[in-house]
Amino acid sequence: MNFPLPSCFSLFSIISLLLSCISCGPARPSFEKNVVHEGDDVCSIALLPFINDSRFDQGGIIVQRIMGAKLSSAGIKVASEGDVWNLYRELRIFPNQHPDIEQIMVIGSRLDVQLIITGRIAEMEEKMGDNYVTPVLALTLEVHDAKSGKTMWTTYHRREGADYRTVMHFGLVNTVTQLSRIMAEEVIEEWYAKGMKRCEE
Amino acid sequence: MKNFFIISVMLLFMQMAPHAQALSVAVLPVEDLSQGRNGVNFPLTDFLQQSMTERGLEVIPSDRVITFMARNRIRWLGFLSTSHICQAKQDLGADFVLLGTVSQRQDLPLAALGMVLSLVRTSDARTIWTDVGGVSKADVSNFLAIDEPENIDEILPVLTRQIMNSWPSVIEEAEGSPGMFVETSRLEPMHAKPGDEVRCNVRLRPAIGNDKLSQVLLMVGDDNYLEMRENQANMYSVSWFAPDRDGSLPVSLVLKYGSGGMKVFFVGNYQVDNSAPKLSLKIVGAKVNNITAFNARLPVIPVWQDPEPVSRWSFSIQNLNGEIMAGVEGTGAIPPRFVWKGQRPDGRKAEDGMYEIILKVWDRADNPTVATQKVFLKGNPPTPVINAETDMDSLVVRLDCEDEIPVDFWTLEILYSDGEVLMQSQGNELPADISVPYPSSGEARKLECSASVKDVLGNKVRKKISDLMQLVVPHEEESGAAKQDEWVPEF
Repeated sequence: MNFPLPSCFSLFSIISLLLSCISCGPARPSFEKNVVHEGDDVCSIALLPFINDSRFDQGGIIVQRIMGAKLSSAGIKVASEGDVWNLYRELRIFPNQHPDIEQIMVIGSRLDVQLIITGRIAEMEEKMGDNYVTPVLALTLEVHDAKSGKTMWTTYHRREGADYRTVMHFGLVNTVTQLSRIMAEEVIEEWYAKGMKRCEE
Repeated sequence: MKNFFIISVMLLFMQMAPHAQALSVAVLPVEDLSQGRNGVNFPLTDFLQQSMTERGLEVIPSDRVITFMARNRIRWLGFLSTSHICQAKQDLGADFVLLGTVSQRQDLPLAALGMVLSLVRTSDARTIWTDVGGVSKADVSNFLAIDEPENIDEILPVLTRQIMNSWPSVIEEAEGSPGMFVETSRLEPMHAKPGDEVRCNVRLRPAIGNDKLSQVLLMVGDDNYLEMRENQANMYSVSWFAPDRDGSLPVSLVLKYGSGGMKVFFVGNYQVDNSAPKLSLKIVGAKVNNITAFNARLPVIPVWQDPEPVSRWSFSIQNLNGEIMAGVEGTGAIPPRFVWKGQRPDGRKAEDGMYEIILKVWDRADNPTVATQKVFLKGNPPTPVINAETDMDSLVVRLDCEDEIPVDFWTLEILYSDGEVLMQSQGNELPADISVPYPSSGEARKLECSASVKDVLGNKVRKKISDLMQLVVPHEEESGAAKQDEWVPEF
């Protein structure tokens, strides 16, 4: 059976395009659970200052604010960042340092929250081209039980703006803010998928 | 009748006016993280104020907001503490506070802007709306680039529109109270010895609503309740003595309300510690008569038997008269090693002799421990002693050392004055006798002697005698020769 040359080329192009779309499908955040949260619905959370190990200026604060905004949008009461900073001062915790178990218990009790989230930005940058920008973000989140201070689960997530490309330039994420927003949504969805109970207040 | 009707209508409007009043919002200056931690973006703040007005909210004027921030010492933008949010309601009469953060703002290579906005209700300090957005020029490019935003100023309305899409259709006031009740708490000391006084101070938020505080208790351990006294308005304190048994005790604040409600807040743990830290000193040096000796540099390494955190330490070296030769003290962890260079505090070399190394350490409960060790400083070189005597047919040179420090090695060279070497010898024990053939009677050249001695500490010395024969002590047989009876006129 002889295919005409243009048809062969078109078929090859379509297959290549499909294969490329399959291969760039976004990966899920890697999730490691240590302890199962025995509480009820998760309705209150405190986000502690994220540690920024990347070279992106103020990267920790940016991702922390975006994560807080997305948790609030998900119906969870997020403790005020100002109250967290006041407790950091009171407990003499440096901003680039994670609190110990006892300090987490004090913070959790004082802010009256169920979970406490600490974060670390491993990689955050905007790769610059002549007329394009590819944002990259990799972060690790640790979720602690506020009553016991124990780490309940950890999540690692890394994405590039190009991971969301659908066809040609469509779907590309061009700003690190938008990438952080999408990744925060993915992480929260992953937590719900793995058993964190939605707040039904 | 007509006047009565007008007055009635006016009274009705006056009664309705407070209920018809628009909700007020205080727009705090927008934090601009693209300019660093202290960045602020006033044009964007104005833009947001305008946007709030368009949405039917009454916007608190900027100068009042700035005055409020200055009065309450609000140094950071982008967030507020619960107490400041409540204060905004009292001072500004704001029903809501709008907080904004610019997460990114850049012109090249592509104009991009990112922003986080949050609307906080002041009655219960609850975030009732928040959203995030980021727009790049690449996101808003369109076919043939018609009306395409080119710079940040043109992207801003696009981004604001995108974020405000999720703005709630109805914004409601709510009667409630913020969830935080304790402003500050302080428990000290966190580590105590049995019998030490432990104190806890707390500052509570003034009660909101009718449910008044009836009792403030401190739970120490599992079942020991102490009533806290109110020293000043909303400030409570209590002190107690640490028990005799070692261990960690949890401390929690218990607030009891008139309605029967109760709130418990964990304040922290304090540790009762009655045992002193255990450590010894490891000193690197040569052992002489079971005492460590050194010549110039003494490394001292603290060795823990049972490691534990320390609060402070002091390291000193003193002579047997108690005079301090060197000393240093500090807080926190002990340095892994100390080095004394055998010097006095003024930098001069310390005299040879016995010294005592003293390391004193206090743990977090202030339990002290002392580790001491004696050392011997010998910074001066050994003192070689050279003697010579004649034997039957040879010259015996005796090399010895006056010091107590053992010799590591010695060398001896006997040579004529013109450089011809007659004898070379070396060894590592003193005293040593070296026998040299007696020079012939016709020999006119002088015999020279050169000796080097190094002790086990590394001190070295070299001694040279230009005329060895001057040291010669006659043999006992010769010393027993007959004495002359009369003086010989030699001069």
